[in-house]
Amino acid sequence: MLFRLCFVLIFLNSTLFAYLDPSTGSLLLSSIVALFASLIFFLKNIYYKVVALLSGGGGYRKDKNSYGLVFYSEGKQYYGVFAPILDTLDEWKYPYIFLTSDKDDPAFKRANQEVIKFVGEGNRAYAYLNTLKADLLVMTTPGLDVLQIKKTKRIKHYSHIVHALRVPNYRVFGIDYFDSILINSPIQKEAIRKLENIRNLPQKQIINVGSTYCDYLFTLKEKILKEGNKVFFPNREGQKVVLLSPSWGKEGILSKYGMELISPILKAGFLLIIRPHPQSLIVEQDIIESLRSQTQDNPQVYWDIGTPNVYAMQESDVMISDFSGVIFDYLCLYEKPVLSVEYEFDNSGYDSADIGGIWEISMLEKNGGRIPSNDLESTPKLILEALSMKEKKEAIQEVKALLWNHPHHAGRLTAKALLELRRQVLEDKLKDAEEICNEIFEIRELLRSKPC
Amino acid sequence: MLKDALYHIFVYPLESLLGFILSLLQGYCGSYGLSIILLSLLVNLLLLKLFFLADRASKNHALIKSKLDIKIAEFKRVFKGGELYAYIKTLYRQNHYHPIYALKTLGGLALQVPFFVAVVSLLEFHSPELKGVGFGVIPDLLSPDGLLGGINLLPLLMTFFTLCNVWISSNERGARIQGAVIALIFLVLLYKMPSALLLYWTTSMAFALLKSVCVKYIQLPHKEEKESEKESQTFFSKIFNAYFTKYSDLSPQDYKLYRNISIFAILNLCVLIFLYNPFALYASDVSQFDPKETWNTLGALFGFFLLISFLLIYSTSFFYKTRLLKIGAYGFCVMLMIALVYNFVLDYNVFEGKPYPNMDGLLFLSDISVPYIARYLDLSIGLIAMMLCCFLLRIRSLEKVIKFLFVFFALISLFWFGNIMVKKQIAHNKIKDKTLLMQEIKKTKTDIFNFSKTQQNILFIISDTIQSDIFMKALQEYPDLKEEFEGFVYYPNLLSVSSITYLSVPAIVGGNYYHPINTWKRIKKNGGDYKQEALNAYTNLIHGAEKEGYQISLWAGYPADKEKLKKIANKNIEIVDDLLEAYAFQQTIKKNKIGNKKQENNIGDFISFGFFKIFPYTLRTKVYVGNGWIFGESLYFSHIYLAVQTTAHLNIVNEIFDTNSKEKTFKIIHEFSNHYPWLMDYNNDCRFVVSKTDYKKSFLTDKESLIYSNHLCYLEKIKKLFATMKRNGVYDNTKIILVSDHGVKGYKINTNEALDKKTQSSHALLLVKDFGQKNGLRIDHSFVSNAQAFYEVCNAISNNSNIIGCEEKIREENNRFFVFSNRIDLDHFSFDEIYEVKDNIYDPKNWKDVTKEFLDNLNKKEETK
Repeated sequence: MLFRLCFVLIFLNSTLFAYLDPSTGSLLLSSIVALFASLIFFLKNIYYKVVALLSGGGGYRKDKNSYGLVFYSEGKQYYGVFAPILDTLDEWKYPYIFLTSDKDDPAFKRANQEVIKFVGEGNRAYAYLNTLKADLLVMTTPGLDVLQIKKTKRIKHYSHIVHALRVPNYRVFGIDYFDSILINSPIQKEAIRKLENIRNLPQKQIINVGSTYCDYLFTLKEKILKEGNKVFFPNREGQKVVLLSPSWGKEGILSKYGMELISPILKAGFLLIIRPHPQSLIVEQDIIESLRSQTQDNPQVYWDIGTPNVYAMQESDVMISDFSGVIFDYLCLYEKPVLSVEYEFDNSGYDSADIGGIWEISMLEKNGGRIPSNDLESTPKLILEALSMKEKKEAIQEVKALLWNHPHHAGRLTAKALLELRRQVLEDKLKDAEEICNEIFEIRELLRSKPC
Repeated sequence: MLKDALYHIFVYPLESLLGFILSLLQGYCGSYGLSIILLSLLVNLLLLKLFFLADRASKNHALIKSKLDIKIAEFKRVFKGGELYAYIKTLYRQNHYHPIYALKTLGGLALQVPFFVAVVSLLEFHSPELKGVGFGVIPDLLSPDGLLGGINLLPLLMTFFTLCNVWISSNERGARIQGAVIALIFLVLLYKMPSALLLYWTTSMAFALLKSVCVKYIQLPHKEEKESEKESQTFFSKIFNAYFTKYSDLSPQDYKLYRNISIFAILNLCVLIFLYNPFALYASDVSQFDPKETWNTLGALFGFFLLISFLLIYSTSFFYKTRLLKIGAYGFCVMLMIALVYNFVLDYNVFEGKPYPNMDGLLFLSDISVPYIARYLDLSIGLIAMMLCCFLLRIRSLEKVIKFLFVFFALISLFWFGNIMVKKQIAHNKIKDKTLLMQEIKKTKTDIFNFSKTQQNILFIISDTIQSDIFMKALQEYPDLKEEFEGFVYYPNLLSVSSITYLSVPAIVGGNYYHPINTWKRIKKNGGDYKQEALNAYTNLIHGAEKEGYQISLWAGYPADKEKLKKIANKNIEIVDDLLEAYAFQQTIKKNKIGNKKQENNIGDFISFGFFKIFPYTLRTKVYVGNGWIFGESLYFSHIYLAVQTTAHLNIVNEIFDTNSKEKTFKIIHEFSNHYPWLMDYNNDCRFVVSKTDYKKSFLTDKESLIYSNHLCYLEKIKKLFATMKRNGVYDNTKIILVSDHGVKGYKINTNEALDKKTQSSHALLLVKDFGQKNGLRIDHSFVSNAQAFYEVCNAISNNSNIIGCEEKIREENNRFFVFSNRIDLDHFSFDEIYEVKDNIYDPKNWKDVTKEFLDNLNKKEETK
């Protein structure tokens, strides 16, 4: 097609070509292609900007205020990440604004309602963030300056809180343009630095503050323990409970193996809590319905939908999963073994494609074992082994120590880290006046410390 | 307009430069074919470094592109729509890539396009010279070669080289196919192109092939960095190393400093030469230039700035990593300092303490010669600049100063540009008015060449600057002339009354009474001026003749005031309208096909002016040579238009010739066929010299031949006039007086030793044919002056008592005076030398310099008074 086009161009404008020699002619073709590609690229840019504008990005009222510390939460599921930080700041009486895209966000139940603000969903929220003026914006949403949320000069510093215990494996470029990343283990820092090197990015500030959401879940777990209720199998006696907690998508074990995986577990007499991923309920409805109908009369099975995950984790003895992040929450919070079905993860479109493989696989082998995908019948045997082996328990302890740093202090550490970042921003704003300010502080300190 | 402007910015400068090189090569090797091959090789060699850089950029681009393509393929598997676009955009951003960067790899193309367009244009321009010129087995460089029994060899050879190149430079099948297809397309497109173009391209392709072979098969030895050995340094080696510092001994900051100084000094020099000074000159009087050409002129100047600065920076870049970097930076720094001093301080004639003469168009109104001492001043300034730069180069802020100067000059140039654009509109309106006036010009009714068949006619032609010696030379070389001047008497022993028209014409039309010395004495005594005296002389003659019943036509008058002269016009006296002169000019322009658009650019003059401004005095005279700019054409155009204007009178004789006058007629014509700058070419049917090369060559080195050629052409015109008169039966009844006001000052055409260069201008022409005279040319050796012409008119008029002066018998005088004068401007002159000559002008003993005696005598009289 391209050649045809070039032929047409050549014969249409032979006077121009008469000036050129053949080798230059081939360069000219390349230039036409380059210009054409650039034009398409440019038009696409305009098209997607218009689409974003029409799909909610344009109809909002610009917030003219300038803020100091701002949090943004995409939905109520992230409340656990922010809650310990907000608690600390409230305790310290340090001002902040909490923006959310979820009307049902539990944050609205907090005492200081005036700082919680609903900014709309999707493009509307992103458009709001793109015009916001603040010193520091903290969020869990990846894709800054890649997808809809643009990095602007109006916000002096963007900070991202990692909300998983494992090595973060976001969609490609997910956290590349944040100024700082708040992590919960050194292995996360290693991976982030590796990406920075590969992509020639400037180094971000990385601060290990622990896991706020694990702390939050731990508090919840303690509360359930105190209540002592068994939600799923209240009358079980000595039977082991298996929690099947898969991820979603074509590689998710529920959609991939279905009854092939469930049947051996049930045949072996285990009780089974099946907790499909919330996304499966939307995109894999048929499979879920089919599996539910096949197991609805079996008293060994309980489909856990809509309950906070801590209940199922609390009541189960072992987890079977694939590559879901919940594996590490289970390991760290409950110190119980996890079995995972062997899988081949397609890294395409993930950060892991650039740093090679995913870190979890080696961990999973140590902390429960792998179920061969071609021998799902061996699952009951592997469950029993996992439950009985002492080494597994030691390995779990190791993983917990590695992944969950600063347990129960993440809220305070994060708050401190954020105040430090804010201080840096303010210092940057001062620039030349910094010396004068320091001198003022010194004089003030001197006057206060020296009695008459 | 945009197309023209782009051509002038990007192609014209290159075309001019390549044209200049081609002419040099052609002059050196004498073969156009070989010159074209050498030109192609030179261009390719010059661009070699850039080609390699472009190649490297292209390879880097291909590498990044292939890496990105893998990633894009991965993204395409998992994303779509806006998400896919966002990830690809980020991928590009992280890799500093954009699809448009593919154009960056086309640096080679960007470089070649102007070169190829320039070459095509250049060969088109040279096509008249290439016509019928062969090269080796190629019979005609302007036609396809047809060497293989009618099949053209050169396009096939070019395609063969290209295919080999494509095969060698790429291993990819796709690239090879693409290259081959394009090569074949070009074979079709170029197959019937002139051999000259194909010779250029084929050489270029052969060079490209050689380059590819070298790159692919010859591994250049890797240069190993030698560790700098510590040598014991003598005083001289220390000095040497201080200025010829090794690249390895320079710190990165110093390297950058000297490199930048060198670059910005070049840019400063170029901006002064090509933009600042020319733009300022243009803005000083926009009305002097054709507004239609403004964009082109300014665009070409900008193009020259780009091209020359690029070439200089590019050629100096070869020396950056050598010992020459520091000394080169120093050299350019010195040049810049000298340029600044001359451009802004010594921009006047310091020796006379006066500014340079005013300019008309792009030419000075008078000479700009400098005394010998100028070279010492130039040398001193050069030495001071060298010493100062030794000191300045140690100051790091010099780089900032030079950069600032560049920005400053560029901004001022921009200001001039804006200024020109504003003034251009006003000038455009003026031109419109002028064009309208030109459209109104048509043949006006006149009797200047309307003769009577039955009554007597007197034709009195005053021809400017005709020298008698040259007429004699023409008579010797062309004896037939004697027959052509049937019935004429020629007076070779003639002494002009003065060396300038201003003083001679009154005596020619008024007799001895108006001899410059007599007039001078009269003015000193009674007051008045020469213009008034000239008017009196004309009025006396015309009124006297009118009273005798003559129908008078006057196409003359200088140096009398024309407006005052017009007041004497009545039904018997016609003062020829100026429009007829304009018509004659227009007709001559048309006939000679002078002045097409392309010829009218004056870019070379502007550039020469740029050089002139920054150059020391001694070099300034090398740029403004022979009253014209070395690279310019405005002198040529100014001369060609002047030549057309001065020679136009006799060109319309046939159009306005008539014989229906019932009265006696008396016609006075003052014509200037042989006036400076003498551009009629006798060997080319007396057409104007239109080849600029011929013009420059003759005008600068062989003006004598131009003058001789012009004299012959003048005689041709006179012969044609006589032929017309004879054909119409008014030759016999007409008394013809042909007289010149003076000879040609300063050019020794004839070999008569008696008349030195100065007094040559005394040797004016006088030829008289009385009524009914029929024999061939007769020579009369009587000692006469050109004032004799007046008495010849007197003789023709039977009752001449109404004309004052006719009664004198000056022919009998043995002593005559010649006033050598230098014109200062149109209305001012000086009496430089006065000679008293006895009997025979050809005997040097007869010449006596009486200047002192005469002036003393005059002063004494004034004192007594």
